[in-house]
Amino acid sequence: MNARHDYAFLAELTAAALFFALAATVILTLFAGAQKRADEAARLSGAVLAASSAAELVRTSASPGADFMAAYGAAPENGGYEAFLDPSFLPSERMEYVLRLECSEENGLCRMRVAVMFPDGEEIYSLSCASYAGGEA
Amino acid sequence: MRRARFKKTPMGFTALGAPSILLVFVLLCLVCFASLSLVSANAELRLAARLAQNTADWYEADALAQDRLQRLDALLAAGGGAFDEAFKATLAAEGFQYTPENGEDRIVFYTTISPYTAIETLVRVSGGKGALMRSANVVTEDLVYTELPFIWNGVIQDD
Repeated sequence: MNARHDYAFLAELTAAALFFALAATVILTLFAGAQKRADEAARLSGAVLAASSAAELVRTSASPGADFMAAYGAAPENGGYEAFLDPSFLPSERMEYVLRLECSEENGLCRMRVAVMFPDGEEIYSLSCASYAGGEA
Repeated sequence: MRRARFKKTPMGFTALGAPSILLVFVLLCLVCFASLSLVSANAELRLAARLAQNTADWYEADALAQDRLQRLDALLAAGGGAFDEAFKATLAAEGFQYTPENGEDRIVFYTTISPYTAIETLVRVSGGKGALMRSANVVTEDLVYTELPFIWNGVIQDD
């Protein structure tokens, strides 16, 4: 009789432990997925703000390259200009992200591309803008 | 000594102890919180993606407007500053609207950003040269809202 009770108790305990393990796996997966998506969203939002801030600076500037270097402490690199951003997407010496500007000018129209990327070159966000020097206000 | 005799009650498979019920309840709560957190993070990501797309679209449209501004300058240089009918037709063919105002020659053109918005660029022309006067976002179409199901507005018919 006692052995049967012990067996029933052990069976219930095992079932509870298995259920707990299964549920814990599901919960952890959900929380991990949520964390990953939240990080991705924060990174994309930060990259959009950083890129649009830089674009606003260069599209209203007479000499985009020089102004970009002065504002972000950028240096010429691979035919463009590169600056480093910290985890908050602010100009910094710390190389968490890279802000890159590429310019090409033709007949007074300066076409530019601003990109935010990881140090290994993987792009997070980029946008194209232009400024026409001939259209004086 | 007599052993206390308990009345035996039949216990089915679903008969669980209080700790097990508590465990199930706690796990259900955790699953709910995890799901809510996932839904919230997903909404954040979609919002960020939409913001990214809208920002890129706006800058692309602005770049196109700058491109057209350059083209307008070239047309004005070729036209020599005379707004005769042939020149107006050439401008109209390229989407530039001639709109004289207060004795000034003005040209306006629109660059589409989205189905409902555009960048309006206004250029004043004098001596065959254009000067940018305004570049602003304008709403070009009435927004079409999704019709919502009936929601009680708090007004009772008998009132």
